[in-house]
Amino acid sequence: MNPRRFSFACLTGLTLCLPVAAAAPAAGTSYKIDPVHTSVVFRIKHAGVSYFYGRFNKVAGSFAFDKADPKKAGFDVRIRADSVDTNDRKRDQHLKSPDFFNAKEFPTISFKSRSVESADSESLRVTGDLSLHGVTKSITVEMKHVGSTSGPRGAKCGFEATFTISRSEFGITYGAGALGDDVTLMVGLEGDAQ
Amino acid sequence: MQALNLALICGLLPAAAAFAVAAWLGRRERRGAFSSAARPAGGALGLSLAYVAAHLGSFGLSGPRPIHSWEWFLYAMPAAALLGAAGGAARRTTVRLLAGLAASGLAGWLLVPSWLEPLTGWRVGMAAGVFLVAVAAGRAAEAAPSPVWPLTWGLTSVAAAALLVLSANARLGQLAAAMAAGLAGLTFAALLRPRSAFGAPAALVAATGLLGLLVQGYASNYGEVPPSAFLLVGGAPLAGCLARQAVRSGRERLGPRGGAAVIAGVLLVLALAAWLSWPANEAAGRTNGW
Repeated sequence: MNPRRFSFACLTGLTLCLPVAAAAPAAGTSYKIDPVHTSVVFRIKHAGVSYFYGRFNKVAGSFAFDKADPKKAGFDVRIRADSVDTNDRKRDQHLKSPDFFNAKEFPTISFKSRSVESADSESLRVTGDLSLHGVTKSITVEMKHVGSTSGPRGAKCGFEATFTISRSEFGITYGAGALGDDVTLMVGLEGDAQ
Repeated sequence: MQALNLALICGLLPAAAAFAVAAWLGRRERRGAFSSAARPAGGALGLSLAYVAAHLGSFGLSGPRPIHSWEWFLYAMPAAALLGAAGGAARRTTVRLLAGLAASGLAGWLLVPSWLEPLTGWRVGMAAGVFLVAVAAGRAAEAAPSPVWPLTWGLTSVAAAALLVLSANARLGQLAAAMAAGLAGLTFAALLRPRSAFGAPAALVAATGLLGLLVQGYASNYGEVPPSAFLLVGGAPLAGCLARQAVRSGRERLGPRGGAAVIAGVLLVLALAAWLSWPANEAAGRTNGW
């Protein structure tokens, strides 16, 4: 084969294969949650005097997002209950026990969306089922679309949400008085296009 | 205020309930209200009521069908009491045996958490353990009635409560403490009515509660408590029975020597369990917790 034609063919093929930089992801794109760049942090009032923070280290799941049609979005997030981390081994053990998350009996905390509507230009109002401690309840969460991008390593998309639940509604009542009933969760999701 | 509520619900209430039921039924039997064969039922019914009162007072009821595995005690304990009482009142040994097997089997089925593997092995083991401990302790208590029997069961329940708290299960520890309080009530009732306060039916209820709580605690053990400690505490009442056999002189009464041997046997086993749990206790002291 003529070396010039070969080089031209390779260059053409390579150009066609390369994703276009800074292009938005395809409509209705599915994203797999990137556990390394996803954070789930919770906050609870302690002794009525301060807020205490903890996090979950193991998050998995997926979401779908179409900026042109928000109703096509969907979220399926799963958190390992025994990955709770409050920087204190004994407290973490207690949190995993039947007194709190009962992580052996209910190993997964999950949120699965049922309906999505647009809240504003950058946010989605997501209604879904939160399953925690053996109880499933419907909650509505405002998910803010932080950004989307494409690059040599593929398309990425991120969301952030902050919402509050009442732990007693999920049967976690231990330590009432010393610990507040309201728990605020701050979730930062990053996903890789599948 | 919270500490006071805890002391009332898990301490005074179960002790008073157990004492009241055992003492009242014992008195009614003495007056001929019902057959002497039903005599030992008071302790079983009293202990079961004590547990249920403490459980509901502390944690309420999530619904008719429990969500959590530890909620099944609300069914297992009264079932053990009713089956134990029925078996205790029966004249035929076969009926008594069947009642004991039924209660033990029910305990194995209801109280073993579903995530333990192999599940069937655990259920059979639990049922066998409850039956063995209940039969041994029940026969010993009926052969030589004494307040020493509910006393040693109470001491074992206190040890179980401490072990469960060390394994990061404060709720289960609270329930074991309520059982200890109920057994304290039976101890006082046994001072008045030794034959009716603690017999084979009460031993069946106590074995169901103690072994059930220990299995639950082991299954959710996030502390550093070794499995051997759970086994030793569960077997402590057997140690008391063996100690009694060792010093038995042919007399049925459990005299001071026999009573001291029973208490010493149980305390020795509990001390061994405490020694094995010491690393977990030290680890608990090193970290802040709440």
